[in-house]
Amino acid sequence: MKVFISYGAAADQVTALRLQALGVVNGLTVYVPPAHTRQGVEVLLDPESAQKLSEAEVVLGVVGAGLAEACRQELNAAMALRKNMIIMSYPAFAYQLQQYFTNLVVIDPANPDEAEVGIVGRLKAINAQQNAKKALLALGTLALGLLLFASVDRD
Amino acid sequence: MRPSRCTIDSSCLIALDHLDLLPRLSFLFSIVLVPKAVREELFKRRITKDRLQSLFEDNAFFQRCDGYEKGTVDFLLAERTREGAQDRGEVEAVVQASQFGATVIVDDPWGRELAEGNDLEVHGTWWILQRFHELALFSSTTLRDSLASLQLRGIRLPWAAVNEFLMQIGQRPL
Repeated sequence: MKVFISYGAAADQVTALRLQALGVVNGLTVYVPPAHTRQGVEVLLDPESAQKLSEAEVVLGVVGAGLAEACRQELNAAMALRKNMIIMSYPAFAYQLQQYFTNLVVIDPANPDEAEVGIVGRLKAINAQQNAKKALLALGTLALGLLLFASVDRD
Repeated sequence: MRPSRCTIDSSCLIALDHLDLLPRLSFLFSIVLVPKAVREELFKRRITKDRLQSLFEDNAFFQRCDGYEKGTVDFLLAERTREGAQDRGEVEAVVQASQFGATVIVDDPWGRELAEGNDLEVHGTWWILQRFHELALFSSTTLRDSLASLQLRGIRLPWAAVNEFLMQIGQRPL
């Protein structure tokens, strides 16, 4: 199964790369856009990212440190392509994302159990095949753990 | 808590790049600092120069590290130069790690000794591969294949310890 991980800012790439490594050893093909796509203001979606996005069956958004234009474009494109998608974000970016995306799971490090419930809730709303749901559940749960660790790292 | 960070020497960068494992360092460190002397060493050859440039472009957690106590590096290097060696990369890795509270990733025995002498946490390529195996990012077979590839390339590793570990995990020694 092909997975696309869209991360909010360059500092979030480390979480995306960790998810990629875990996904790959579990048989997933995971694409993480290169860091240069998060530096400067990208006007258009990076062609390679656009290609990988169109091929992906599952899209996971990880927004912890910022929301770069490239990430916003990737998430918009994923929505337009009707990809099976969950976006996980810290509360600081929830307002920005909630305006455009319904499949958002907010991770409040002080109250992480709500995020777990949120992942399950979003999955119920997605009309996807069982293996896509399983991949999103696994990656979403791992992302939750990694983002919680990252929040401790930043404190 | 401070993000886990390390400084890295050229031999470890070359070895891990050979195995295409540099992005996986994100599992062990949030920031990997590449000292200026290490970059200059790798910039001497076109192929390693290109690889290093694309490493920085593709992976935000690899960062150029230029700010360091030059005087300390020059002092330590003067000692070493008298012994007939030139290891500015190792020295910068140690001095910068000391400044930034980072772990040192270096294979060279003198560099390791220098880091230990400065009371720094120090590891090498072999430790990284073992950690990947422990974290299940690597199967035992993949670990052996990777080590065989490094051996073929002439990368220096503590082969006695490597072979002992391979036997412990049910693999043939190299």
